[in-house]
Amino acid sequence: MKRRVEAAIRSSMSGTQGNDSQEPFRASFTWRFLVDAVVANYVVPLALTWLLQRLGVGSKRGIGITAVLCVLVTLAATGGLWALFAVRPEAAGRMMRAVLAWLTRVTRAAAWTALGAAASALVLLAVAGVHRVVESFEPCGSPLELRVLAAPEALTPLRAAAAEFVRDAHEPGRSRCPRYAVSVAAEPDVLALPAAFADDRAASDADTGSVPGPQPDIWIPSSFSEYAYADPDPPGDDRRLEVLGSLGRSPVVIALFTKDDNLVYSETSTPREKTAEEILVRFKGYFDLTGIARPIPESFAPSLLATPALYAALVKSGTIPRSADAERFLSPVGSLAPDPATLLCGLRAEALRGADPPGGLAVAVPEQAVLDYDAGRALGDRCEAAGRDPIPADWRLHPYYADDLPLLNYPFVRVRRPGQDTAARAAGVGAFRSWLDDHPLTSQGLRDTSCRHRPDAAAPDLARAAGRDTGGLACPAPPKSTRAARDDFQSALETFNKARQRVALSVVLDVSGSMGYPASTATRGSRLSVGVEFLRGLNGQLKGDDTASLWTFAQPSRSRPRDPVATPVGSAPLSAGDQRADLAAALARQEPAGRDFPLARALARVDDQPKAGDVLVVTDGQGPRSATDADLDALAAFHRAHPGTGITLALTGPTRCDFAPVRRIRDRVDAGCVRLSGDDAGQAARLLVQWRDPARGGKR
Amino acid sequence: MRPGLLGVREHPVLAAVFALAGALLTAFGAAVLPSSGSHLPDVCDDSRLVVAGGTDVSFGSQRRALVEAWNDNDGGVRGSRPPARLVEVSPSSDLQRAQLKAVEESGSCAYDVLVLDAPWTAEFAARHWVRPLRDLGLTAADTRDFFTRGLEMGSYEHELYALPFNLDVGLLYYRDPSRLPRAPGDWPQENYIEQLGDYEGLVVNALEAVWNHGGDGVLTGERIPDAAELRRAYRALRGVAATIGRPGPLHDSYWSGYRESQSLAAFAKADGSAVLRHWPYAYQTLANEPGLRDDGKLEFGVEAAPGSTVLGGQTLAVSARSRHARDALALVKFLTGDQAERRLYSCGGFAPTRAAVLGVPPEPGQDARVLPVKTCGEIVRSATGADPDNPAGAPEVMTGDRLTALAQAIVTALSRARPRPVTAYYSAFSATLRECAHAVFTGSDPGEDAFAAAVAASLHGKWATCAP
Repeated sequence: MKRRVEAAIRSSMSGTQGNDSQEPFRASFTWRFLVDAVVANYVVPLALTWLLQRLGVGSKRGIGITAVLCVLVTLAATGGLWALFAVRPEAAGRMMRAVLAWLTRVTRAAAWTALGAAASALVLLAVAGVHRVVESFEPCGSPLELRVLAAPEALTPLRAAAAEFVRDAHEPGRSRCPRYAVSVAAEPDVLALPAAFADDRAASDADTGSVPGPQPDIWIPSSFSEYAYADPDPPGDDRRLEVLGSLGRSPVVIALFTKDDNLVYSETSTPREKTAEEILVRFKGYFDLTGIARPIPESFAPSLLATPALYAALVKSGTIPRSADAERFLSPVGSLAPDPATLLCGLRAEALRGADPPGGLAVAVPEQAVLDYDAGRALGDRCEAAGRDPIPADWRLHPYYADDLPLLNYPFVRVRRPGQDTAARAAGVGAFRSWLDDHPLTSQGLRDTSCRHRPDAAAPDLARAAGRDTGGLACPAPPKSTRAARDDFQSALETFNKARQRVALSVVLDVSGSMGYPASTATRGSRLSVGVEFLRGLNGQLKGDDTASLWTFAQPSRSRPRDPVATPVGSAPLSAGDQRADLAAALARQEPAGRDFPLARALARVDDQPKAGDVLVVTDGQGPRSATDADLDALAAFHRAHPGTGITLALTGPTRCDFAPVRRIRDRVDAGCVRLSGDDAGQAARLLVQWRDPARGGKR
Repeated sequence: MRPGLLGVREHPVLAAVFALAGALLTAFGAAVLPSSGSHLPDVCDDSRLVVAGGTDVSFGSQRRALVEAWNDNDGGVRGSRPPARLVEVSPSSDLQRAQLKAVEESGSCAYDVLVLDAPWTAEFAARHWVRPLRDLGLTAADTRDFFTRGLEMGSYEHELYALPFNLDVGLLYYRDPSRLPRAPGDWPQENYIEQLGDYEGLVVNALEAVWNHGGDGVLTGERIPDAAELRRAYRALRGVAATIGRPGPLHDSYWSGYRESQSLAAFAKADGSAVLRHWPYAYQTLANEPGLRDDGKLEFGVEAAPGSTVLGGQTLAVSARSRHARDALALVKFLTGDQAERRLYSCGGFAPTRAAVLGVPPEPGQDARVLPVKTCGEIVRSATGADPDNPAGAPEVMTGDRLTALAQAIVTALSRARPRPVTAYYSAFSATLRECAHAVFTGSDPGEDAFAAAVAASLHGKWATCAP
């Protein structure tokens, strides 16, 4: 059979090649065919696919699939051809002769085309070269603006990386002309993320709307689970989101101040255990743990994801007697904060005031945040670098690791949106992503994909802070599918929801004309804008099973001729329909107009609606010269009829909680009172904790 | 190559045709391929004019009220033109600029009117992201009443691209008039409170220090300073650094990173010797502070500073991508109209951009005297015929006398105010000057040559640093 095949090949090739010497040709024919086939079927498409991918047209996955298909086709073609020669050599020979003749013609045509293309390319390159030389004498162009939205604890490392990227990514041929400008902002509270993305895409008929910060080109949440929960790319949406790998890892840790750490840590054992329970058992052997401060889960996704492990650890280690006490243990009132930067900035401020660190208190935050804190770096938007006052040694935090605490993996998500989806923007996002591959955030304190630290020599403070040997970390892969990731998140949310008492809240907002006046020197804007910003922060922290409604009150005016007490948004659970978005939109629409309406009378009107667990009044506290006794009597009657309803007054300024008429109302119904300070998320978090846990001092 | 292999001699015409096809395909691919690929098409709301800017921090939400007035079509102000929608991008001006810039450089039609900070005009105009208003039918008569300095804010290379929405000038707030400076070189002192946090406020205060301490005329307007002038600027900042180094409110202003609210709060709590450098809106905020009032009388005053202060404010421009450019201009004219400016000043706390509001000529000299200004209540009453929406019985804090006194300070300061550098690379300049000012103030001295080189490079958009 072999001789028949070879004879048929010789016969076919002699007709086209005109070469009678068949021996060397026969020996090389098959190899040459295979080489030609591989080059034609594999390398050329591969090169084209790579080129298209660099231009932002294809994807790495596409290259992989193309390569595999080309190899399979090549092998199948070769195998088929051999089989044909074996069975029908003459027919195979005729076919080969015809194919080779056709190929000769096609090859010539392709060669002519290629020569023309080559000549054109040379001309274009020459023109481009001249253009570049001319350009080098012209002013710099405009750097393309890339907008990044990121998890709060990633702001510091990302901003440092972005600054280096901008410096490195210069215009071609002009090393000091930056090609890109990168702005990095913090993402909204985690429970508000779905609504925030919905706001971003929904058209609105309102006269005024707001965008939650700039519309990002790049979004970097703390984990794939958080990304999945936000459901930012539902079917039918006109945006496209694409996850382009991970920027690094950072485990959630439980960290101790130096004094307690000195009791626990020893050189002979690592600061790592399999479970958080074992960590707490270890602590218990040396000191009394009085609380674990962590950013509130309503705002901060890693805290939410860590909740099930922390709850279990607290009970099983015997740190708390029963699971009902877990949330209280994890929410020390003086340390409530919406994100790690706020929490750690508060600690840093206490340290700089010369206070002693709180004994027995641990802190549960991402390791990255601990490194930034210890190294004195800026912490998000909350506090700038420590500068000339480094953190005192006794205030430093020392991390302990547990395999069952979340491992954050910071996915890099490219966001494309209509009207802004240009090739230049795609190239810019791709360039930043590639740069981050070449300059990983491990130099900024994150761990690599094997969960190892590789501190850069240029960052000695981080290297020192990261130097404690953990004996390796468990490094599980993130969930493979969006559904699995979302299920993880939902499961943690359900665990948290069961532990946190629901809140039924009636928000009563003063929209009288005086609310248009300045609030106070400490906060920018009018009293109404201060109140609305605070309520936006509160809205972002309400859970899905909380219910909320919005009431407004002011005397009727020409611009608002209606009932002095109105209900723009009725009571409903936050998870119902668009309740959260409706509340946000209603808040954005409010404008001050009309004379003041008596506060006591407004509160008594809230009684008309289904019973509310808590009533929050946002007001400047300025009213008619004197609240009548009748108004106060009506309010007291309301309070007697609803003994389970607590009233809290949130004052925008400039009046204080001990000014009339606020003082009279407080005395009559034992209402709580806070003065809004601009720390919207922090104040909202503290109020929510009190409402959920009346033993904490919520006024009921 | 074996003779006849490519068959050119046998088929010369065919060869030429294929070669030409190859050349054309390559040229076409080079032109089209980089911008090809699936891109999401633009979706624009043609039913409304979209005004994009920062958060409305005016007292009484006056900007929103103006948009509503346009939409309500009272008196037929908009006629058959589309209603408008105000989109508040971010309270941070850096993020606001990033958003507007990204949308415009993408060529999107999402926004019709842009609210721009004064230094952004050059960049947006140079990149053709906003349209010359003359092309949309704006005439000299339309701009006759604006303060000339305000029109300069919206101009670039002698072309007007934006109308001024509100003005800002630096003013000095004080409790003890004997603490006020007499000459430009007399301030700031240790008892001064300024905005020296790491944001644009640091640039503003640094420039004022430069202009008043030997760097007069440097880093202002379109002129690029030479190295000798930049070295003078450096020496001026060194002088201020020495003052910052001494204990006192100015020291705290820098090391505590005061921004606008913190500086106001610090002044409210400070003793009588403190002097605050701030914008005009601060007056109404301070006037509402109970600790700065005594039986209805204000415990502080306001004056224009001797020497130069920064001319700031915001303008309204028409996006080059707007599909309703002429309608957008009509909206801009309405929002900056005489009635709007009166309301923005007396009710909203923003310094007006129209000279008639204050009864002075468009180019007032230092001795210009303003006419009495109406209160918010008077304006609302005369506009609507209804009682003003003020709390019953409570006197307006911003009385006519106070509004007039503030207006006088504004007009005096306006005659001496200077613009920041007018350059399409303002953001690069601002970032570089902030970094260099930090280096000077913290003692990690870059030296005058390095300072001059860095700032000069940044004015041309080049990456620069004062770090060693």
